Amino acid sequence: MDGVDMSVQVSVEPEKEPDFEYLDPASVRLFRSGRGWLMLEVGDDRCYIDVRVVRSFPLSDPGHYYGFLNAKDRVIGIIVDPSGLDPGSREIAEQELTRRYFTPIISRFIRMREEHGVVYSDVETNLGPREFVVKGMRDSILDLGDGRVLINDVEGNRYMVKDWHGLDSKSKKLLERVL
Amino acid sequence: MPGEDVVLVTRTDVSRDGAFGERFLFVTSRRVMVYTPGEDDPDVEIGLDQVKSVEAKHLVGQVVLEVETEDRRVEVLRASNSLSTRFSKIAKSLADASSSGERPVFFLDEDEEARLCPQCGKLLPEKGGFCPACLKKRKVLRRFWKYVRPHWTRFTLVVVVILLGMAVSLLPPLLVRELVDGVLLVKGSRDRLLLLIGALIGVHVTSSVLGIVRGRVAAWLSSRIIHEIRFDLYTAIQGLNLRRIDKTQTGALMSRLTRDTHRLNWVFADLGMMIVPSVLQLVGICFMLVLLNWRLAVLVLLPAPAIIFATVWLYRYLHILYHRVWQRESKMMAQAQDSISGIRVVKAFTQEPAEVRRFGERSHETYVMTAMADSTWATAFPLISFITMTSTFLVWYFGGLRVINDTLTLGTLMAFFTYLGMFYSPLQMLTRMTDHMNRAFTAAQRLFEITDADQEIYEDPNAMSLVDPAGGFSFENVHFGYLKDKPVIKGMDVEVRAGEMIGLVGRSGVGKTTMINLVCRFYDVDEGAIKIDGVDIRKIKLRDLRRNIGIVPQESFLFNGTIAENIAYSRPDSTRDEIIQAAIAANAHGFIMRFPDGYDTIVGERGSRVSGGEKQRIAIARAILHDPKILILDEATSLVDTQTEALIQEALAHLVKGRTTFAIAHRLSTLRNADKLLVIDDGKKAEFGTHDELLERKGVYYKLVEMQTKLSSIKAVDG
Repeated sequence: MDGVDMSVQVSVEPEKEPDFEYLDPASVRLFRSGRGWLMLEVGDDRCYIDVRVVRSFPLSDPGHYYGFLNAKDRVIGIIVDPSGLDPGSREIAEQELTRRYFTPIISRFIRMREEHGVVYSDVETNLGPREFVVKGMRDSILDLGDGRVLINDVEGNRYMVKDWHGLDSKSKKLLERVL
Repeated sequence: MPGEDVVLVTRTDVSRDGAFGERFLFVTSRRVMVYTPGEDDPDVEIGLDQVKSVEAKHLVGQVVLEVETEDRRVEVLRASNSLSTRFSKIAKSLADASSSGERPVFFLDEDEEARLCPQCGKLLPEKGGFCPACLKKRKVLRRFWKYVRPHWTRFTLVVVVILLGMAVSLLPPLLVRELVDGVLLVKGSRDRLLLLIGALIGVHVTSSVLGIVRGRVAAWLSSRIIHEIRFDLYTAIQGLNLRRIDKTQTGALMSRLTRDTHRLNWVFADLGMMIVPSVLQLVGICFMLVLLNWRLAVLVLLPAPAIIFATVWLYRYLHILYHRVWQRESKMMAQAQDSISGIRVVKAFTQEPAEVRRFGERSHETYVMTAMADSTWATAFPLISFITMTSTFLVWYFGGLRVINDTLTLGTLMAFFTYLGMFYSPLQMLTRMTDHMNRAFTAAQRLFEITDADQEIYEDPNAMSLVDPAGGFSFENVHFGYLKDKPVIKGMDVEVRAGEMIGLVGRSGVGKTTMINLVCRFYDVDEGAIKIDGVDIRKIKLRDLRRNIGIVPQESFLFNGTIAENIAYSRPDSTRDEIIQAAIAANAHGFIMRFPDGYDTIVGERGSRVSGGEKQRIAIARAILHDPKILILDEATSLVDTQTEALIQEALAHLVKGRTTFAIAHRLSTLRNADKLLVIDDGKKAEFGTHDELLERKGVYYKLVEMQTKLSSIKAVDG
């Protein structure tokens, strides 16, 4: 082995990636096992145990391109338009997505105070009231386009604002500084 | 239940239906339960003996505590990312307890305290950092004062000169009055005339001289202080926590260094040259006016409040406009910086038109905003001047009346006009200044944001020095992720003995480079510990730690200096011989000598003037000269021709001899030279042993070697 050694890139692949594909929603079925695991059936011949449902474009196109990952987080496939799923599967998919993506939507800023580049906020969201701290506004507040804004606080939580132009004037002024 | 006691009670911030709310987790010696407040029965109840596994799953924006029992999987509770560390720890403790059959033990308190401000109790933006809510504007001024204080003699001089200047400036109108009333109107003597004019000249000369002195001293003072602040800022940037640098663009940092420090100059120039003298002058003038004729003085001062109000309002508005201009400019420059430094990529993908268009859009936005701001300024200024004029008309009328009625001398009236002239322009300038000052304060804010809040990894004030370590280190149950929601290392346990070479093997992205970042303490582990000679690296002085670790990174970064300077980077006072020795050992001496400028060759920005293989060997020479006890090697994956490859391998062999080495290996030969191999999979240790041991096991490593052998039959094309 020493003599023929080449500087070839080696990598360890203990498991092959399952074949990725665009899945036809009509042939896909999502259901829960007795254990509470999520099961995915594709066509008549394939069944995956303990799958996850993820969004390929959670920020720019959350309603399309749902992805399915197997128990080892490898990609099984993508469904472009989930409306083609049967109602039961669709409901389970949406449930899983809601469970996975926890991004409260801010409806109102009750109070927003800035001290030396750190913003202390008190807000009302669709999931209840919340207080959080944002640091480094330029990097923690992202413009997603169409008036939507994503805010990352210092503890790694995320919040979304659907239309920042519609906020109260004080909050608007503050957001204007970085958007 | 009898014989059962409560081990832990903690709350989570997400309720049963997934909204923000409270729920309580109770862990007793026998069960795990979750209660919603106000309800008698638990939402979840699981006996500890039923628990097969426990995991805190990091989803997007939250963490889920899940338990697997014999026959089902149960979601125990959910929590926002604020509590993710706590629940990760809880999961680990529960998992340990269920596998050992003993009581669960929890270690939760240490981390929590450093996160809250001791004074106001608010969440600190940075653990152990300062609390912005408690920081007052006064403190910002105090910060400035700290910079001024060492130069107090010059500062005092400026103050004295300003006071004198003010006193002197109040004299001319009085002289004018005397001139008019005492000489011109009474057709007085020529000598008297000359005397008064001489006095006027004298006053003006003195004024000018004082002004020059003040100007020069203030100029020196302000430049000096700006230099000191700028220096501190740069030092702070160098000390920045890598997590923050990852998030901030270089352009933004550069802008702080240049524009914001420049803005600060205004604070001193304006304060020293304009604000303080103006304020004093205004006070003096008011005094004189009242002294001369208080009724008229009232008239003069009447429009003042209106003017102040209008000016303040106007400048506040302008401030917002100019801030937007600044913001757009920043964006524009950031895009320019990005696309110009990545120009090779832009050209390779023929995206020049797109980049030009993008820049055009940003530049356009900037121009629109600038035009708006500047034209508002252009409109406002004359308007304000007009309001000021009303004062003059009032004085003409009422003053004139009084002169006609002989209740006021002409000279006094003229003095009045002179004072008037001296009054309103400083007033306007003053109101304008408050806004200017605000902007300077914002700039100061941005600077202090960096110098204060973002320092390096939280360094324990009681950190120990590291003297002559043996060089062995270990990972103990290390968990880490760059992002909260995506852990990369999920429980790594490995021990490296002094002098051993460990080869790291694994898929890309599995965590090899991350482990290296953690050993160097570029980031702190989320859980667990890394120890050197048995001591947690967080308890060691950062400088000492890094000095004893040498890195040869995957992508060798060379600074724009000479080859010699780059090799001697860690030890700038190395002798030329030492540099040459290091280069020889790294097989770099040969090609260096072939350069026309030899060791004095400039390597170009980012080392662009040397080839990949040459860069690697210079980096190896750098590490050899550094001579660290612990060596971290992140093998470059770029392919070079066979000959160069052999040279690099030899250089590496020289480098690792006798050093504790942690190497991410791609070359099989490096792996063969290693004492032990660590195969990483899914953020954990999958296999660990010598080359032969692992081959025998016929596991992951074995497959890899087999594949490599098969691939070896494909020979390289050149060399």
